[in-house]
Amino acid sequence: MLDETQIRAMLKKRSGSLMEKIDFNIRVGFYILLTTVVFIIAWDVLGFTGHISGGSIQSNVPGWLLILDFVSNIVIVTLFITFFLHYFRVRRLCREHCDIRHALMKVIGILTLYQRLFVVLLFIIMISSATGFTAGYFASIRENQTSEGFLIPVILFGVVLIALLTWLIFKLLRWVFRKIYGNYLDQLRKTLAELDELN
Amino acid sequence: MEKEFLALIRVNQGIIHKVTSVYCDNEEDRKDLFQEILAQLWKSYPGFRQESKFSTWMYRIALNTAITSFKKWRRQPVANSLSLVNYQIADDNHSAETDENIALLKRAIARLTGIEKSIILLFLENKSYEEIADITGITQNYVRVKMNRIKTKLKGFMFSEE
Repeated sequence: MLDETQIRAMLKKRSGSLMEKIDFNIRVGFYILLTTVVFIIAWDVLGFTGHISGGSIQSNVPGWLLILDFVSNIVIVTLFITFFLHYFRVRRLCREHCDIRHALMKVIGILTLYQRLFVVLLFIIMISSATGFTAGYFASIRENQTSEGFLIPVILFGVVLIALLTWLIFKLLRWVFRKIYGNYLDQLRKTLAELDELN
Repeated sequence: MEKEFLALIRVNQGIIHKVTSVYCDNEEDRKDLFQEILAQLWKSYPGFRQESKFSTWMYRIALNTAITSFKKWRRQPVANSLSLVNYQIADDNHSAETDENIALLKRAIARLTGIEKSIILLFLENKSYEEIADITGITQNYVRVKMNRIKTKLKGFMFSEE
């Protein structure tokens, strides 16, 4: 049996459960995302792109691309903040009042939402990057005045390259996500299914 | 609040020991899970509204943590799980035959699923079907059905070992 000093000492040590790691990852992810978005916005607003390139790139970037960039940043941050608030509210409520079945349902719900959100955000980021890359690619072709004969193969090569890169990054990140959380989610679902067998 | 919490845990720590003994095969895992449950209890304590008994609340948090942790508890030969047993299944004055039966029962319990372990643990703690239903979130009828199935399963495991 442990005395109060031993219990206090145990409380000071960090928890190592997967849920705590998910908590930690979500917090870190949130701060990284926020910092990146603030940095990108500051970069655009302060016009560093224009200064560095002497105005040439800035003036070649189509207006719709800047709007798309801005909108995707807003969507990403809004989605993440909504999820962040929802996640910690549910975690707190569940820790205090949930029975096993409800705790499982909530954790599964949150992780599924996290997984879906991750795919949606990844998709938005990939589309946004691919569009930016394409715009830059076309601007470069136009500036270099590529001859008619080379135009179609160059465009074709660029499009295939972008599609391939986008697909590869998307698949890789989704695989990493499944590797980290996939088994855990499966186990949770299996346990819940056992509880729901006759309910 | 911390002093009050520590005092309550000191008195009721047997509950955490019982849960860790049922869910973990070795000492190191038991320590990890004990610490995890303790951390969750401390985080949840401000929300404890004394609507239920402290022990029921503690069981709920402890079992939630054990079931959702799913840490890959290192598997060791089942015999090792007998080295540290904190849950009381029978009284202290038991014979060698009873000892053997308890050992058999513990080995059989170790082969149950996570949910089954929590139900049998609560049952062995003399919790009513109502309390078991409250902690697990399933209906009392289902607790009865599940208990019958667990008993059959345990008998099967025990006879197959004999």
